[in-house]
Amino acid sequence: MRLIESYVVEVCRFVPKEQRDEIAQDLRDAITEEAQEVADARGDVLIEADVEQVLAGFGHPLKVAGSYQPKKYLIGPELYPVLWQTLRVVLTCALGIQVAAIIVFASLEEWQMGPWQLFSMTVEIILWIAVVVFAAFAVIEYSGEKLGWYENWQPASLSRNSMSTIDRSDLVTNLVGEGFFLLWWNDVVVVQNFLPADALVVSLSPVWADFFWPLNFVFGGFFLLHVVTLTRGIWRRGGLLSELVLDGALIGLALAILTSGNLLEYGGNLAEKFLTPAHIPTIMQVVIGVVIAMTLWDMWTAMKNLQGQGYGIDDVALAEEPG
Amino acid sequence: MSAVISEPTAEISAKLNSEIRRGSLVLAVLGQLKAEHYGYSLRKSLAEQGLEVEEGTLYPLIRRLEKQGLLESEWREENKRRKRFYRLSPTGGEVYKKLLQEWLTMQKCLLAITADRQPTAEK
Repeated sequence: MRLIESYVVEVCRFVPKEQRDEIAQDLRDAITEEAQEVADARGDVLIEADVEQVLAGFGHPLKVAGSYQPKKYLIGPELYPVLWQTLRVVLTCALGIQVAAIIVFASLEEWQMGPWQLFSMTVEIILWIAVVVFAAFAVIEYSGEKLGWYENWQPASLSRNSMSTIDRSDLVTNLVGEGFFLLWWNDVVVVQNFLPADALVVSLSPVWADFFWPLNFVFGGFFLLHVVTLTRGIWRRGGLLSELVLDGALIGLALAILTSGNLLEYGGNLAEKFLTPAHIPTIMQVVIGVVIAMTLWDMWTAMKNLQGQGYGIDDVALAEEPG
Repeated sequence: MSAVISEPTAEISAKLNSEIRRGSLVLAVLGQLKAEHYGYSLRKSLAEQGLEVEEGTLYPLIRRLEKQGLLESEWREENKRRKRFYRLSPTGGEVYKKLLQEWLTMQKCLLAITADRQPTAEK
């Protein structure tokens, strides 16, 4: 019957070539047999309605084709968490390397790029990394390679090293801010290109030159620390102490900058209409004040984390245990 | 008090039911094929014992079990019609015994675990 043949062809479109003939024969026999039984139950010859009834019982061809196959995944549930972990680590490292490379190139030669150029380069890198990582995991899944991570795991490997959980969104926000600052500070991204030249020209005064390397060190340190912490997924004691030292250094630098005299130079129609030289110190005090406040908040969080370390399984859960 | 099953709960139950059925179905088919059956008669006999199985599930399962060497098949004529008859292979028989043992152990455990959670009659 044509209906049976159409159904078989439809199912076989979705099964591997090498099994197609066998499954087609199998399915053809099964449908015919079922349809004949339906016709027999009616006490009449086989008609198309009998076949339709049987095919309705078999269900959608795609579903039946799936039932003939063992369950296959591009990346299965066992590898899935490892995939995300790997993707996160590789992406974070790649972006960190990208920022560092850009800074090095910019310091070696006159090399600048606009934010959009930087954005498109970053997206391209992310896409390539994602493609490579997904492809590698698909190969592992396909080849059925056993990772052995789960089997070889030992509870003793859970270090009692003091640690606390990270606030991922907070860390990512910090990383974006620090990365942008480093690119701007090293003249890789020029914000002035995006301001209307006639209306507003803003530049840092020469006093900032003394802070070029100190700020590079502090922000570079923050960036590296946050990349490592984000990759690890936890704060370790050493990381928290480094955070406190860098926070202290940044506050010290901010206070030194505040007392360095004239910090900003400006020009352009718009700026001259609304700004007077008297406004500049106030504006800079507010800006640097905000930076200091944010850094103090980070210090406070780091200290809280440092005090709260080990405050988890040891002190709470075990304390609740009877006896 | 009438129990109201919310949609998510119903969905969860359906998924879990399907998992339980999927695991049990192999045992049921192997058990039924201790005696020879062809596809339709197998499905009928399972249904008569309360286990309705869709054609689209049963036939691919039979094929998989045969490929694994747990079933043997033979084409024969019955009532002037060629039919493919299936029965347990010797390997299938061994696997069936092991699965059945596991199933009985599990059933015993589950009955013990759920015994005190059976709904009690109101006085």
